[in-house]
Amino acid sequence: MDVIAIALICISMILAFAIGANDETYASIVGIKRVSVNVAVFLGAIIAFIGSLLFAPRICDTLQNDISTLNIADYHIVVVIFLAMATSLILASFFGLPISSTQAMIGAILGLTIIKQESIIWTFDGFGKIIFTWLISPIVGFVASFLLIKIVNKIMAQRIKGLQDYEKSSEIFGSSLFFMVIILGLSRSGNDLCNAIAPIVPLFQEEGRSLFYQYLPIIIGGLSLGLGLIFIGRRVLQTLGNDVVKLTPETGFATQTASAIIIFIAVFFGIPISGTMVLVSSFVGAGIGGNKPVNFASVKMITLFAFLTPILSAVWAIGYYYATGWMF
Amino acid sequence: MFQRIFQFQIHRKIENNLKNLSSFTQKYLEAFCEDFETMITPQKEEEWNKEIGACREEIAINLHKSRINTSLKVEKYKLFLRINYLLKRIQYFHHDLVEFKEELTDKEIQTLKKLLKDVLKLTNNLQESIECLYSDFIAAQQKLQLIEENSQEILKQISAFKYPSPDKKMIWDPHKPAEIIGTTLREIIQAIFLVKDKNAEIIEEFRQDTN
Repeated sequence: MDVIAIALICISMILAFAIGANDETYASIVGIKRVSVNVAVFLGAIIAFIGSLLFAPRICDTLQNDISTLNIADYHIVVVIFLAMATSLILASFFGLPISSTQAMIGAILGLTIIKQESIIWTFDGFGKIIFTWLISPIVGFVASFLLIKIVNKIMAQRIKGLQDYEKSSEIFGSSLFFMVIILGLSRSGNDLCNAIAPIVPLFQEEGRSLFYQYLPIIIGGLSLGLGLIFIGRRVLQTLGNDVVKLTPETGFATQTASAIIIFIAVFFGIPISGTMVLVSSFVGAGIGGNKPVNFASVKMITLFAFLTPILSAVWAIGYYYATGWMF
Repeated sequence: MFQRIFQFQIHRKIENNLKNLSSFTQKYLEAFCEDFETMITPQKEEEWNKEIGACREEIAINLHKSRINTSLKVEKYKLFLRINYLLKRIQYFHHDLVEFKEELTDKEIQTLKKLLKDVLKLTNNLQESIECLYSDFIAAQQKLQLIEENSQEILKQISAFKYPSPDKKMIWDPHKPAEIIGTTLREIIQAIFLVKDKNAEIIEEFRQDTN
């Protein structure tokens, strides 16, 4: 293996670590106090590792660039994009802010497109689709969870006669949410890991090598994902689970269910959507719909970072492009 | 960890603990009414104190384990504190009664016995409201309404113990046995009101929660 291959492996692991550090999947179970932040990160790390082994395919799709004419098959470009993404994700995680990894990637690609004097594709097949995604994701997340919590509250009002009924329904919502989050965590980790290890998977697919060797990027990537969650991920869970809105089992359930339904519909119809944006906005929607106090200072901070992420990623990408030029 | 995830058992334990703790208020008042002459024996009191202590400890542990919903947990804790406060007031009253009973006149004793029966009714209503809180909010509210109505009459009667009236016309001596007993009895009713108000707040919050 040459130096560039080793550098690629290291950078992929850093990106997997960064994605794990910014994983907001377990925020709702932390918010409803079903598990503590410490338990959530360790549970999340185990789920991330298992999910990576079970659901990360040995052949992942390589990075696609529909938004500009930049050629991202080049190793130098891939390394720079990954480093910029990892920097944005880790930085946001340190502040406890959930950000979209897609936004970070788009920012990096745009930064490189500008300095390499390539052109942006503004049509709906290109960058237009991304702008549409950024506009529609928070709106649908908010509306869906707002409506869902209203329906849930209506049903509860008819059925709840005393505290026993309230506790029973909270138990049902809380336990359902717990299992939903585990399933979501398993499926997401496979996909998230694939984003990070796509360029290095082919390096391990040599003929005649053992299955363990072929699975090595998935194993190391899964571990990195889990370690990211354990070491830095707690801040994101703390912000989204405890600071944005006072979650109850039913609002937590509405949040997660609304996000899952929207993402499923979006994937089914091929509508581009950001999972992070949908989830964050659905927290706010469920909070307002359920008459719970929403911490708008945290919401403002998350929104500000949503705008800053592509810009900062573009800046990091330009910096890394010049800083790593000597390697390629 | 599984106990933290599946909390059915803990919720039922807390429910039983709260009902159990509040039942001691009734036990004390029943003993005051039925065994006024002999009062609660020191052995009996010690036995109850042990049971109350164990119940308090169990509630604290179970509330700590409970992970349902922070606001409900806090409200249950506040209810627990207020029941506890009521029990303390009743215990103080018991001690005052043991100490000063012999110094009361026959007329004062007759009035006190009647008042204790009325307060027993309040604690019955309170106990029922705590039980209904878990099964039927509307029934619980009706019980709380009964407490509100009956307590006004009792408060008027306590003034027979020369508790200072608002117009200050009565002569009040804080060292006289009747005044001391009247004051502690009044404190019991105030403590009953605190528990009643907390019950009402819980009903209000968790019915509103579902609207």
